[in-house]
Amino acid sequence: MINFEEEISHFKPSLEISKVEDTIVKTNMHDITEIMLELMSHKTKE
Amino acid sequence: MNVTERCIYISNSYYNLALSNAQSRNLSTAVTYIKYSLQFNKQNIAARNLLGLIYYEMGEVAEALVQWVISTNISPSQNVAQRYIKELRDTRGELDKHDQNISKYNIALMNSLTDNKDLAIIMLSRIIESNPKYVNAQLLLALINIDKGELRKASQSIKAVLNVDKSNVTALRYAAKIRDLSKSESSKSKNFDSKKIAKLMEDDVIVPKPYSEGLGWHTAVNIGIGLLIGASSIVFLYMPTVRSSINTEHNKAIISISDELSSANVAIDTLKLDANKLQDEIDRLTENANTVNESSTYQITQYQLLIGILDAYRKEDLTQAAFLYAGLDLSKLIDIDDGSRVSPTSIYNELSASIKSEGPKLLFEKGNSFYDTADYANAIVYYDKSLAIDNTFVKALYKKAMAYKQSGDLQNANTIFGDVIINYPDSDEAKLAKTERGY
Repeated sequence: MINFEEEISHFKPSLEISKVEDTIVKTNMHDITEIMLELMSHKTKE
Repeated sequence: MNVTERCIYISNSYYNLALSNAQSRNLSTAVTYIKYSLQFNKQNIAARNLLGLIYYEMGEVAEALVQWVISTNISPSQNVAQRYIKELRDTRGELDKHDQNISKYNIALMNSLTDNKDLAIIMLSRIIESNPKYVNAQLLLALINIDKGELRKASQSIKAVLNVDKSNVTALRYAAKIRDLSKSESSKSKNFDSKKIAKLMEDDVIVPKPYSEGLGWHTAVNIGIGLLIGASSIVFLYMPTVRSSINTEHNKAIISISDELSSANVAIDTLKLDANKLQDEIDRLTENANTVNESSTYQITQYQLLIGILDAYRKEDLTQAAFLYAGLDLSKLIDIDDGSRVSPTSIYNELSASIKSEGPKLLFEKGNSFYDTADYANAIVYYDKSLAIDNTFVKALYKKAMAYKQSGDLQNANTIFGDVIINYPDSDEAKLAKTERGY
């Protein structure tokens, strides 16, 4: 038997079109390359 | 190869995997690989555009716009994302439609969380009618229907999701649950359409043919036959017994009533007899009462006569006194000892001596006076009064006969003449009587 309460908690609200601009601004655009470059820069500084 | 190039290669590899999955409609798997691809290379435009496209296909238009806008910002020229955005913006009502669907979905989700499932169903139904590929709306609707036991409706939603995204984990999990539920209900209820559900889930589970199939006119005929048998048993088995029982009861009641009627009739006859007896008694008592009344009146009359006699005697009208005396009934005169010392019988005794000696003659002469004036009726009256005092007064007897004869009553006259002749043969009146009579 499906537990309705458990399953419904997996559902998240969909991003509304009015929130697209805010979402774009807040998007974390870091990828692994940037992370590694940052790590390398920290190591270099050390 | 440096790290950057290696990351780009890895990103492209994941993109390729994502693309193949997306082409196979395994959209959820494709999204996962694309995210991996973008983690290695955020500037993988192709991956980002594909991600946007997958989001758009699944109804998450806002998410698709995010990816497309970012893509255009990374690479403004010759970017397919610009075309996607342009088409979305320029197609009349397209963006508003998706915006409303998303808003309704979010509201429906809130209603589901607040136990307003019926309202959520209504809203989700409108969403999927507008955009059947809205995966989250279909999944939410499926979940609510499963919770309500509407497995058929849930199956339809799940099928719609799997048509869009074959690898949707949630839809696959729901489908497995529905299969389990359909198997268990088909064993309980013979009307459960488990076969169709299984087919809907594209499962090869062999479902036993429900017993309910084939219902229809057979059932109606069977029911009709059963009703006929029941009606016949009532008419031929039960009703005669009931009728016999009723008749027996009625007969007993009739016998009882007849007995009571007979008793009542006997009582009536007895009462009638008693009534007759009572009536006889009443008549007797009435007669007695009348007799007593008459006797009392008669007795009173005697006292009046006595008073009359005394009054006539006082006036020295002995003839009148004798006349009244002749009608007096001495037996009715009784002496009552009331202390007044008045004795009617004593008074009578005093008067009777003189009246008896002189009274018959005086009354005879009075009668003769009426006879001489041809008043034979009064003459007869006085002759009778005379004879009442002295019944041996033959002269009065003869003159009475003569009065009858003179009045034309020969029968009475001859009868009285006969009395004179027989009773007084030696008297002069006897000879005269023979002469008057003629023999």
